[in-house]
Amino acid sequence: MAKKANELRLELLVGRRVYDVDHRVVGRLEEFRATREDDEWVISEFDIGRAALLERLAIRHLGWLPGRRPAGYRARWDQIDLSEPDRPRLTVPIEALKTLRRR
Amino acid sequence: MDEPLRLVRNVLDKQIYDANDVRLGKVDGVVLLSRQGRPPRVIALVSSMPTAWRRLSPRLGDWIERFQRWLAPDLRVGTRIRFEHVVHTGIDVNVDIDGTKTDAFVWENWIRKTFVEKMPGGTGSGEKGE
Amino acid sequence: MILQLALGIITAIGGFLDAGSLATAAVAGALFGFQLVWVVVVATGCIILLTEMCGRLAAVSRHTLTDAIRERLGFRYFAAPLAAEIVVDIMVLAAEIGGVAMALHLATGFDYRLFVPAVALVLWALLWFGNFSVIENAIAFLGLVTLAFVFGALRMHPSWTEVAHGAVPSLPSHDRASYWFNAVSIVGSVLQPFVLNFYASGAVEEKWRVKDLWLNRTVAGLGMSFGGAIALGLLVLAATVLGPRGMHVDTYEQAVPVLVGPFGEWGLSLFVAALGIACLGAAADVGLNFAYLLSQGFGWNWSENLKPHEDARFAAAYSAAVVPAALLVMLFDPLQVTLLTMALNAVIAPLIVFPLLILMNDKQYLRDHTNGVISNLLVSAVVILAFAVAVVAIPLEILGG
Repeated sequence: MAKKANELRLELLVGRRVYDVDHRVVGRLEEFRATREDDEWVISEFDIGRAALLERLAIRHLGWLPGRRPAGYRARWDQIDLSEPDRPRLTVPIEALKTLRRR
Repeated sequence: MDEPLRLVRNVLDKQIYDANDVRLGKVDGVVLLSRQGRPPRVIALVSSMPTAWRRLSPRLGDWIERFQRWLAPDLRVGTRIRFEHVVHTGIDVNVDIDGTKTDAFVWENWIRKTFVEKMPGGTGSGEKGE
Repeated sequence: MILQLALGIITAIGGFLDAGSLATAAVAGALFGFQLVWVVVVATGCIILLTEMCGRLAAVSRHTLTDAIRERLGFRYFAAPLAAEIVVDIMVLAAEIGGVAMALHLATGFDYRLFVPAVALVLWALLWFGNFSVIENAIAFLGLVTLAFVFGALRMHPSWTEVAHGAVPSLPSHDRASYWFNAVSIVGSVLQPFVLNFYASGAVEEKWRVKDLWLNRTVAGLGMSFGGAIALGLLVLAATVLGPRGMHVDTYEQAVPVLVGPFGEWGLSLFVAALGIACLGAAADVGLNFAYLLSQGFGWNWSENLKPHEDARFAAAYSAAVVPAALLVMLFDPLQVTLLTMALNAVIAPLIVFPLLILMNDKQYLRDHTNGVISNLLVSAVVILAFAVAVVAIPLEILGG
């Protein structure tokens, strides 16, 4: 199946490191949240980082392990630039992202 | 489906069932349409061996695709189902189409014709013991 | 209901016993007497826990272990146990085909290699033409002949006090590397990755639901316990019959006296029947599991109850597995293939056992039937044990195998 120029493959984006404006690693892309807009499903948010991975795997019980809280962020669709799929980048400072907390 | 849909947790890698509850394959990939100034749109599910293996290594996926084309040059490699056909997600993904109208069974049919039907007892349908 | 329970228990016994458990028990008993009884006991406890969980997962979610590993952990993780199990399942299949061929060799005196093609063909025909219930129940009933190991052990009147002492973990009195290698091999022969997914697949084939969870617990508990008891019977026999004479088990022929001791001239026939039937049953199980693994991993249509025409890829998968397995056992001694394979089982087990820590707490799969605290602690202990065994298995194979 030939890939079209404006198509992205979610399965190849999952697990990719996301970089901030200073080229530092923020975390890995772990989840893509979609919402319905008219008759379409569109990507509304991305979850990034270890907390996002734990939430995706629903490993709440492992949250009892000692140590610092795992970092995780939720970014809106316009806060990540996917024009280079191999190297997703934030379009805003990391402080502008919502923080994911371990429940 | 009003809550946000979690595409990795509830769509990617899940078993696809068609309108007749027949297994069509796993969701090996999800296609997004990138749009300037607008959020990416979810447009299709993909079920194909090369797509799955490309997640480990692009070269491996390409090799498997070449192997499939060598094995059966006339067959389409992989199934693509438009996302508007998805009616349920979770630990399974249900679509509202008849799987026989997709490319999901091309390899099943090829193996049936090339191997199974040439063996004794390879032409009967239904359940064993009937 | 009683019949269903009885069939389930008998089938679970068959799932426990195969070339690996028979070979490792015989070797361990001959070399170390009753010292490795505790390993059989611990490994049996672990497999009871794990099979109950796999059965519960299948009954509540109607998804097998392979399904759930791919679906929850993703293809990138799944590729590792997939590749590992493809290789090891073929080796286990080779060991089982070799076990049946060796049984025929013991019965006739002809080279076992002459029988391998015929055994492979019979196995293939069993899978091609038979359905799940016929394969499992028929072979399971025939497999009750393996109770000869239990009755034989009783007839030899071992010192049960010494057997009980063997149930307490101890350090070896001699040859440490070989002791621990045999311990690891026993663990590998009991905690065989194919058993877990096969059990879950069987639960889906048999259409177990939430109302059958009691059946799952009973079958896993009693079936695997009886299987462990039979393996223990063989270990006790090897310790009482072979050990005192300084006899080692390097070939299947050397294991035959374990039943000649208690049963006289019937012993050879019983040993041949037990070895042949147990291995044929296990060969059917692992051959099917090879097909289950690929079908469930890639989402193909699958069921042993469907005719090959209805699930062509599933049928082609088990057909394809038989060929390399038969070739492997033609080239290498079956007992050596078996012992190496059991060590490899131990190496790959963590890849399949670790996901249970995640899956058994997933409410999307298990709804109200997720693990409690104690089950989580137990499965965590099993995962740690599996990793520890995996790390030492290959060095011990080199040093003590």
